[in-house]
Amino acid sequence: MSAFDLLMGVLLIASALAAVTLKNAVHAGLALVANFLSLAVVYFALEAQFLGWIQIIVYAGAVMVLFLFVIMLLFDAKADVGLDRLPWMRPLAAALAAAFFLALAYAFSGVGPVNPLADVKLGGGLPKALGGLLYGNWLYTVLLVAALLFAATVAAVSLVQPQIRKARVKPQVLERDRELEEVGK
Amino acid sequence: MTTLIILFAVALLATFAGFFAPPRSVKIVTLLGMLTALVGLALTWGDRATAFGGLYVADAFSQAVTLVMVVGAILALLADCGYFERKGWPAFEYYALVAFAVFGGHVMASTAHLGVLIVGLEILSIPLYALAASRRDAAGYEASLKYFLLGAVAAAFFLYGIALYFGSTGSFVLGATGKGLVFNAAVLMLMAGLSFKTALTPFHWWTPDVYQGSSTPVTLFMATVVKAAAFAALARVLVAVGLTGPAFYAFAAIVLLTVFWGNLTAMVQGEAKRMLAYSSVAHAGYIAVALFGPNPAPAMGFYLLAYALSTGLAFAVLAELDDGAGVPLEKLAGLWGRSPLLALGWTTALLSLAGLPPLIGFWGKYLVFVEAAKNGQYLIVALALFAAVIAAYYYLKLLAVALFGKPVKAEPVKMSGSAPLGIALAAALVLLLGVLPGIAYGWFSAATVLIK
Repeated sequence: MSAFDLLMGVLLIASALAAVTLKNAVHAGLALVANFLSLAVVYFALEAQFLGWIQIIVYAGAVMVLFLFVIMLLFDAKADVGLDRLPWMRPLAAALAAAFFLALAYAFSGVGPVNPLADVKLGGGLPKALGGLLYGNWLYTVLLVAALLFAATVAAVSLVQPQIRKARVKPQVLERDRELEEVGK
Repeated sequence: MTTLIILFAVALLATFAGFFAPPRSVKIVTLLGMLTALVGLALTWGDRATAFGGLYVADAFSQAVTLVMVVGAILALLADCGYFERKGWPAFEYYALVAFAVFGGHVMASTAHLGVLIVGLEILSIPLYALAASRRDAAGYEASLKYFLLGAVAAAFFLYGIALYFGSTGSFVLGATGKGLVFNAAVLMLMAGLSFKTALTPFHWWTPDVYQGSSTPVTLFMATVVKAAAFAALARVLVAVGLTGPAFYAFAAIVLLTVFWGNLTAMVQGEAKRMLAYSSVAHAGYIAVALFGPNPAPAMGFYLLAYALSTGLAFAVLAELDDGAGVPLEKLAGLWGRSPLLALGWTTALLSLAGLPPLIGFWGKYLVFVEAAKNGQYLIVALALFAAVIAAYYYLKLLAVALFGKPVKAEPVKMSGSAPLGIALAAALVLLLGVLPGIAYGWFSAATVLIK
């Protein structure tokens, strides 16, 4: 494990922890941006350049900016998020996470790169190499992702559209009905 | 390939038909599409088709599971009618999302490639997160959010499992040889991710809240379609890696926990939908018992069909009684006097779920237990059988309330639209395939889980 690996690991874990624990929604969003950027650096280090740029442009750029806009439009930017209804869960979750980490660390102990990717020509992870793969062997997956995004759009639209309204009744009509009822008594 | 195209075309058609037709017409379009899918399945039954360089494989097992999913979707569509006539019709997206979920389930069932599997899993799940909130009240939103958050965590586990699987075998395709600790960790994580979707204990915590909070036709859909698709994927994964070593012990523990936890907690519930949710957890355990056998596909396919018909029937009856606030046991009281058809359906469904002969549920249980016994897993079979005997208690309790309970208001239940048709159809199938189980078993007997 090199110093770079260690540094990136610490950065990734710290920013992820900050994203879920910070009380201020905007701070949490910014921590998530930091997390995305660290991840992009890891991609670059793995010579996945296209993926790294996509990570920055799409996630850290477009998605997170939209996210921050929504947060700032919806709440007071200082709004507290994450009211903790089950505070006793926290130490339990931490203990379980630690156990999970140790188990995985044990699984990885003494294992080198199990399956070296040296024989795969990725051309520095640039679109030229990726395009052939995406529209060759992985075409089915690309098509399915298109279907997934379409289904997700339909789902999102169905979630946000307003309630199916009953026929709108004018206030004057309501008032008249009320008066008629009173007369009836 | 035919089925894949038909299912995708139905989803698209349902989406675009909604732009210029009222929701009820979209429902008919979706229903007709599902019937077309049935015809397509029947025409290609037993044919093996591969496409996209082997990423899509429609073999006998995938067809069996797809049959169960289409039947479940048809039941859900038929049962929704009375419910929504009273509650107000949902937006047309409801039907499009149902079609998309079935399409995703079919994708999941017809592949041995983990990358395709996770995309299929998401195509199945994302429509469901929205469907769970279709009733648009606090309980519905809670159900949807819970399902979404826990589903996202499960998907993360599954993805991490895929990464480890690739790291230890160098392949995304199931069946690659691998060994060592990293491989075991990968298998356990894949198992955990899919156990969530199949609602196996201890990954079932979402089930009761989501089943109770969703509108009843959606619950019907979840209990039948999602279970079938998730079990198809789980079977593909576990049979390909082989249930040996730590995976065997982990899975045996999960299955035994599931059958006991599901049945014991179902006993103390006071609401019918919640009770059936725990019953669905327990049934997931029985289906999983088949995975300990040498060739689980026929028994699993049969059990999934039996379970989809029985629990679909039970939820269809509940959909007629549910006014949006759930079905407390008192609401079931005196069902026989209020609506003989509902009472008949309810009785058939519960006796089939309890596993009494000559209903289809009995043969399902018989097949999965025999399957596991073929590999000498007598301890698991004996314990699961014991749990099934415990389960009879609460099924009979539900039945007794409906048959002998004194109703608060003895008014007849008004049924409307296509719901009676769905209930009659499902009840007839539960009876018919129970008396002649050979017919249904014949459909599944050629299935194998492994894709070579």
